[in-house]
Amino acid sequence: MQAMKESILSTHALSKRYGQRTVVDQLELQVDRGEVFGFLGPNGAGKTTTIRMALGLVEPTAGSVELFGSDVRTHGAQVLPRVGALVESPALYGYMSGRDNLRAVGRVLGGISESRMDEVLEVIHLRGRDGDRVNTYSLGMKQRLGLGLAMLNDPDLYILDEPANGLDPAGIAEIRDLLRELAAQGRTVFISSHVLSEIQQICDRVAIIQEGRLVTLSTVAQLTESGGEFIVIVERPEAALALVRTQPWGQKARLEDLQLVVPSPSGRGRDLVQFLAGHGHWPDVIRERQQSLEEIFLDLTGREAR
Amino acid sequence: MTATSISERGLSPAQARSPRASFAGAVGSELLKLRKQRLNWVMIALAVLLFGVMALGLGTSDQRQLLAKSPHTFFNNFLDIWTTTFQIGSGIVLLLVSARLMGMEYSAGTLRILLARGQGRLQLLAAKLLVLISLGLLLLAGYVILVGAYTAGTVIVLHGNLDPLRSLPPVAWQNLGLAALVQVVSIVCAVLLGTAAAVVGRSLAFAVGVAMSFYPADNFGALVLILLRSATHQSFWTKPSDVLLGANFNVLLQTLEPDHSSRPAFAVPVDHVDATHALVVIAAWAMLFLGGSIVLLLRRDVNQ
Ligand SMILES: Nc1ncnc2c1ncn2[C@@H]1O[C@H](COP(=O)(O)OP(=O)(O)O)[C@@H](O)[C@H]1O
Ligand SMILES: [Mg+2]
Repeated sequence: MQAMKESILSTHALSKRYGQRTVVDQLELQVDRGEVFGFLGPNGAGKTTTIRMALGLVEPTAGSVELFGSDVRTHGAQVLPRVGALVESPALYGYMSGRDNLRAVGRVLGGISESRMDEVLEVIHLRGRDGDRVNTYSLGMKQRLGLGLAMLNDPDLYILDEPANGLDPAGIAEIRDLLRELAAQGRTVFISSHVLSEIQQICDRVAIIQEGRLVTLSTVAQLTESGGEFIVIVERPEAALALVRTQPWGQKARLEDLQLVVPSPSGRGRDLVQFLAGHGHWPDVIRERQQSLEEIFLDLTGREAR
Repeated sequence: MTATSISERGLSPAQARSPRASFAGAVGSELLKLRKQRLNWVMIALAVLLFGVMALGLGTSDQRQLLAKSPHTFFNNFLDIWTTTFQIGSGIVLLLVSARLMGMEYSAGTLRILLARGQGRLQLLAAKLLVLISLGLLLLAGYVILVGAYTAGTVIVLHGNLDPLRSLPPVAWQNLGLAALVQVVSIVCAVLLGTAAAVVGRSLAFAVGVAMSFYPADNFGALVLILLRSATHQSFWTKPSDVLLGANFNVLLQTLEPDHSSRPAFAVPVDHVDATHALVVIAAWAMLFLGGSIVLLLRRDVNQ
């Protein structure tokens, strides 16, 4: 018996045109309860526009978005309070304190107690600074407060638009941990990014869009599998390359800046090291070659990458 | 942010998730935003200061003679001065406060936060209008008390008792009531204009700029039309001035008064207009501001 999948967010032939330009084109997505869903695409791909349509901020030119099974355009008042959202850079009342920002949104939501705000402030690490004006906050603090606003009424679904933008690695890691924890509690998370590495560790599935069209929909494992190559630094790269090329799994090996770029016999780094060392090429350095999102796009859209 | 931090604090889902959104909550939120704007308190403090300066300047010796000779003229003078002062002062304050309260949601991008959390666009507008109009009425009430006390104090100082006020004809008190009514209309119009400017321009700077220049442009426009008429001898030029908001506001009290005793300040419509005309023109402008705000807010995408 398979567990019933409950669709939390879905788009149906969702399209948005600005003048002659189609910014989102016939988009079909479905996000199930409890998923952490990555929404990837280069800058200008239409991620923010899609998210704005999902939140009822922007009217689709055609198609629709359903949240919890209801069209957001007709049932926004019922379903949107169950969604915590962060759209682009954090929007806050800069002249008010962090806590007053929580109060201003909390009153609109209704039923948010001061102790609930304390809990949220604790989670977003702003407990000591909640009395200060938001204008004095760093970007990371503002981003966390934006998340705090989203978390206030413990929504079922989080829609986060590039929450890692402008954050340092520590800040990104913090947000990642927080999202993991939310996901562990059964919340559904829809998160956009233009950098795969930022979100690949936490996402179950990712959709990739380019120029408003869905390019692929897959698990992160499938996505990175296709490009699983290693960069190896050895003393005699030409000789090592010739050796690897004789192997069935090594046909695509090549040199880039005197570094050997090579697939592994099994997909795992240790088997590659063992093979090379066994033939007298002890690697100085070996690391996984991160395929950039741009390269994945190029691969997926079938264009010549190099 | 440790993995346990959220679960340990307990998100108390049952309590946190029940939908409790209400119009009262929306109003409370607007009240909080308004209260926390320091400029609003600075403006009120300045207004009180200005009142003090004006009050001191009015207490001259010829007032004593005027009060003894004709209490009714004395009263009408006071009414003229203090209604014009309130109309201008409250106008500036309310236009600025309204433009800021709505305009900041666009400029700070907080509009998308509120709407994305399910707040209705009309609810947001209604909550803001209610809070702003209440603020105007509160200012009016405070002003009436302040001016009332000052007038009574002046009469006592000049005459020794309040008999001159007691001897006033009923029409004087009727005019006072009408003056207050005109101020209420003026308050509502200023709030609708300031809010509409923000919704149309979708930015704080545009909102404040338009809100603060609307009435000066309106009054100046009426003067230009008068000049054009005398230069060209074409009565055609008088028509537009009949439908200017500010010009009609300036004559509204006078047209309403049974004895037409108040003297309009600044530009007035070139043609003679009656109370019905002035009220219809003002109502039309108010409906334009409100209707425009509603339509634009409902129909346009939120890209801020
Ligand atoms: N209001 C708008 N008017 C015209 N074009 C827009 C508007 N909003 C977005 N666009 C265009 O739509 C495209 C997608 O934008 P966006 O959704 O912000 O992309 P992303 O978030 O993926 O970077 C961009 O080329 C952008 O210039
Ligand atoms: Mg974007």
